[in-house]
Amino acid sequence: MRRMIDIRSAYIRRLLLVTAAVALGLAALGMQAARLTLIEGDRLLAQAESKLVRETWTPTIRGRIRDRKGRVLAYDRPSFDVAIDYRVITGEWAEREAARWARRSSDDWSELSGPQRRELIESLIPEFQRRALRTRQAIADATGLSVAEVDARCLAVRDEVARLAETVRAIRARNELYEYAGNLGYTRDELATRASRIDRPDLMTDAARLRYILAEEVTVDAEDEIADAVDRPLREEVMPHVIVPAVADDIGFVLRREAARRDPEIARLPMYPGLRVLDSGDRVYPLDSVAVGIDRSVFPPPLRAEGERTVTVNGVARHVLGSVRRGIFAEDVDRRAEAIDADADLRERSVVRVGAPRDRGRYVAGDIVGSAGIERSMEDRMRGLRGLRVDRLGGGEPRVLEPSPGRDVTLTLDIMLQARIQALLQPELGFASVQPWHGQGERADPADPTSPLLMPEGTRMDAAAVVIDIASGDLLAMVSTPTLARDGSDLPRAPEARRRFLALHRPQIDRSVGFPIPPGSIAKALVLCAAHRAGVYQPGERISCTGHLYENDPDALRCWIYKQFGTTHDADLGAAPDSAEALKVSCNIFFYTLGRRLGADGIADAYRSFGVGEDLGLPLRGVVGGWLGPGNNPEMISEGDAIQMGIGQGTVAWTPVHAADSLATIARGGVRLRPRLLADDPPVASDLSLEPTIARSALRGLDLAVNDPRGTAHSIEYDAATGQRFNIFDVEGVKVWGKTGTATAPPLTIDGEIVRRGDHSWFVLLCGRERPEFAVAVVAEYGGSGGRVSGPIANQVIRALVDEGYL
Amino acid sequence: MTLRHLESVVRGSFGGFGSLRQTLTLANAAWLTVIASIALSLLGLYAIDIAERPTPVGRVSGTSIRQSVFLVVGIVAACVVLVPHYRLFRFVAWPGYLVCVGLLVFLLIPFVPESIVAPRNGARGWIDLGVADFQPAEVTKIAFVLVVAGYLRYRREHRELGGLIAPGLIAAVPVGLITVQPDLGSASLFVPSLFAMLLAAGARLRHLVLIVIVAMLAAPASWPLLKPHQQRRFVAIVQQLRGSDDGAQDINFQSFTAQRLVGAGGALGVPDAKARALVRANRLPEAHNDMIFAVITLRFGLIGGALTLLLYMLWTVGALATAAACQDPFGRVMTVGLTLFVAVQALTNIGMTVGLLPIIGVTMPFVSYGGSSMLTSWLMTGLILNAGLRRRESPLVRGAGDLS
Repeated sequence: MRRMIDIRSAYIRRLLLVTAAVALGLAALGMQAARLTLIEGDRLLAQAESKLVRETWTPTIRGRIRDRKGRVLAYDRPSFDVAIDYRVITGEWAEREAARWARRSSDDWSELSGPQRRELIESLIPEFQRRALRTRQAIADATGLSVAEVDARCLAVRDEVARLAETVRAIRARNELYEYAGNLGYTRDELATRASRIDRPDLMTDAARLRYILAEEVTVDAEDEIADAVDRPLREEVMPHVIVPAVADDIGFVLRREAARRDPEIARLPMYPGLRVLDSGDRVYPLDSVAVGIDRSVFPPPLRAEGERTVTVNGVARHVLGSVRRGIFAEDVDRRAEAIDADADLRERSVVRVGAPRDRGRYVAGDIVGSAGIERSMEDRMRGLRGLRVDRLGGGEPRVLEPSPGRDVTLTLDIMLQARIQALLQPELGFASVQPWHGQGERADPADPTSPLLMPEGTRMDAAAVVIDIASGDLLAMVSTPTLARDGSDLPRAPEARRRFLALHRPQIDRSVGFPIPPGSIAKALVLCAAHRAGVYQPGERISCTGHLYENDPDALRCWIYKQFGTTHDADLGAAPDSAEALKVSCNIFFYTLGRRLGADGIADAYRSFGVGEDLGLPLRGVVGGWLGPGNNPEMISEGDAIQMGIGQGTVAWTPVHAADSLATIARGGVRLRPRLLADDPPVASDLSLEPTIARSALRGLDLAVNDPRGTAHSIEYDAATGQRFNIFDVEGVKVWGKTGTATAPPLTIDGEIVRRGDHSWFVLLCGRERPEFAVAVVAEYGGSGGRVSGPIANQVIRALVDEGYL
Repeated sequence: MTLRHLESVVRGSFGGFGSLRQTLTLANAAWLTVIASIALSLLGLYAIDIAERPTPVGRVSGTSIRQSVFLVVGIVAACVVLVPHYRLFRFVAWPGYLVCVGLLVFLLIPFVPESIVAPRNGARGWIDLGVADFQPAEVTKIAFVLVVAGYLRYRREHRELGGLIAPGLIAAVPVGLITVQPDLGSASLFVPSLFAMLLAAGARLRHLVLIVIVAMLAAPASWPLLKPHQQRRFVAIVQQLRGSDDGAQDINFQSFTAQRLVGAGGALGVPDAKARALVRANRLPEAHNDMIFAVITLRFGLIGGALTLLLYMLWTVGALATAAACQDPFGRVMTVGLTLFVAVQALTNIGMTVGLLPIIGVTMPFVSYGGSSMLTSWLMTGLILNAGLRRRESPLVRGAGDLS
């Protein structure tokens, strides 16, 4: 008998071979497993564990903006957005659930034919559509909207996503085809060129054209694959979409609780399918709209009326505060990354290490971003940092990093002063609308006295006013009108009227700092100081006013008194004016002469030393540093320009902030403090080294201009028939040093038609109980005479300073 | 049926000599396969529960419960096939084979309602039986082995090159039908099994090697015949073996994830709760099914992985020792054929889990979730034990399979 198992048998050897082969295979697997576990094990475990970590970013809030007295001007109000999942909106959810339910609930599902199954599913769909409707009903009930309105919003979302999907899919299809064609050896350019040459208007998309070119080369399988890639759902097609934004807390809480409820019949399903309550926040400007009580009994006689009038102003300081938008642009992300790179402090605060370093303040879709004004420039400071909660699914304590709100920004503005001044500039009070005594006489055709007035009585004037605290350089108010309500409700409704309003009044411009105009005579004090500093004028020197600068040319470079009354200041005053008298009567010849003496370089230096042509350093966009020389090039200033610039005309322009700043500098005896808008900005000072005598004589001139009956800023005749006058400045106990200015303005045209012509009306002043404490600049566009239009406004600004407790 | 009949069935011969005692022997190597099968099945139940249940608390997952039902069904089926002498299966081999081929053809008939044949992952491989889905390709394996074993039993033609054609055709029919489902993984398992059976039946090694070489040379020509997703898998494995991370997020996602979890187990594995969390958080596709080996290694580490490999080795050794002890040519070829199905399937499955082979959707015998797979694996164990339980035949019975 043979042995049971005979090693020598070929059969057994073959079995051993097979056994060895299997053993070898298993050994190879074992080695690979050993490599993975022993050599790569730690790394792979770390990788696997990293997926255990679930990070939840918690929302944060943006810093506040406050005024100098701590009043909150802007803050984030946490709120909720009510959203519905897109799949519920489209009905996809109802169909899917109906199919699921059909499969689960039917006992004989496996015996049903395809059409029978379809029929069963179809019959169940309305049941789930009814559930989907519960969501819309719940939103309507909670928010007070009608179901029809909620439905309309859902439809709008659906349309928008469908449009988006169409665009994205067209791009995907094109790119997939490019890639596929690339594998076939085509270049992208070649295909693009060929596609553009096809004359088939029915092929609307790039993809259709490419598909046409490639024709048979796209195999059926490739076609399927491309279709799969193209049809991949978009993120927007599987996420909740906001139906009612920014609902109040109580509504948000109620709906959030509702969203967690389960369906009483099908516990797997929520009671309100697709209902989501998202954390959001909206930016609130609590003092955006302010009602100001104005005492009209202290108005100049022609405007005076009994009692107080309440004026509601909208968009207070809107130009300064700016605005935010919801929605992130690529630039925001890039800018943030650069800021983090550049600013070690910001990096320290913002970047947290959870695995990789992450910026807690990074932008994600739906974030609020400053888009204008302080909101924009102080974005990094005000932007809050999200909190982070890291949960480990395998257990262990969660790591929690609390969110930190953004930092506050405190402005130097006094918002109530700002609102009060803005109220004064409302046309309804009369100061900023054309009055008979304003002397406004510009006509459509200047040569034809019967042609209509461009600005008949009552016409609204756009204006700006700035108040600077002399001691600190703080900007207390920066008003520009028109300032519109944030919701746009101040704009005319009709499109044509709206267009005309925007073209005529350009409300987007911050006239206090963003629209340079020639200074006119308000620059004369500055020119005087600069002339002395340059050594071309000594105190006490009298310069004869001969009516026109050049003896032989009575038609050019005339004094205003010669132009209007055919006389000279020498004749009027009985002697050639000295510096103070020249300021008092605003003698042009005196300052033409100083301009001529200063020359091109000297006059450029004069303005430059007062900050014209340099960056004001204010944290606002659209801030203009002024304008110096032809084409803003001081090198190009000619001698003739220098003479003109002696009286603030010609190739120089500045803004009300410059104007107030220049006078404040003179009041400080030549120490310039750069105007500040942020309370925590350190003061930036420079000394012009003016001699006290010249600053004193400039102030004396400004004093005389206001307080001497012959001064240009002393009084206004408001009734030609009776010759009745009123003093421009009449605030008890407040001393005023001031200067009028009338600046030549280019005509303003809309659609080729001249709608404004004439001069801008300026007034700058210093005021205080005993010595200058505040500098004020007022400009009224196309207002005409500085004294008549801007003077009374400036007086009311002083009154506002008194009312707000500054004087 | 009388007891007498039953005894005849058990003995595999009607009348004549012998008794039950003479026919049966309890001392045989096939018990090793049974032990390995039980161990692997239980390991599978636990691993499936890990893959399916996110935390240790709460009820055992429905999937594990269904799998334990499948296990019981599989063991019962294995016991049933123990009863008749394996020789008798020869008589049902061809009918069984034809029924299986019929079912495979049925799967491919267009317009069969989806309620009966619902494609999974694009493959038409399952018939919906209501309580469970049935995968004809699985039982076809057994029918195929029985037919080939029956065919080769007393022949010598296969010792010539030309004689390999007929067994090749027997394999080609199911392989072709399964390939077009498409289920390349299951189809490819038939080839090593056929080769091993031919080898056991005495085919020349050099013929088989020649065929392998020719097939390897011809393989590139079949590239265009592959479906795009199949091509991608090959590209992916080449990419991966070259050490590239390119496809970690898409085409190689499944493979990288599986390898990550295999490696994460380290030498000793991670605790139960953590293993559950890791499987879930890493989103391992088919964790309870094709990728179950990753779950085992994650939980029990290299020790557990190696032990699993050893269990398959144990199963193979037990089965091949049974084949070695078997004197009946039909029994020998059958045992070898069945062994190779299980062994190669285990090798392929684990190979793709650890990133050595492309992912072609082959289950891990006894361990992966699935009724058809469990049933087939246990039927195979049952048939091998059946062969092991039968004593050597009397020397009167001689066959072509006897090479000695």
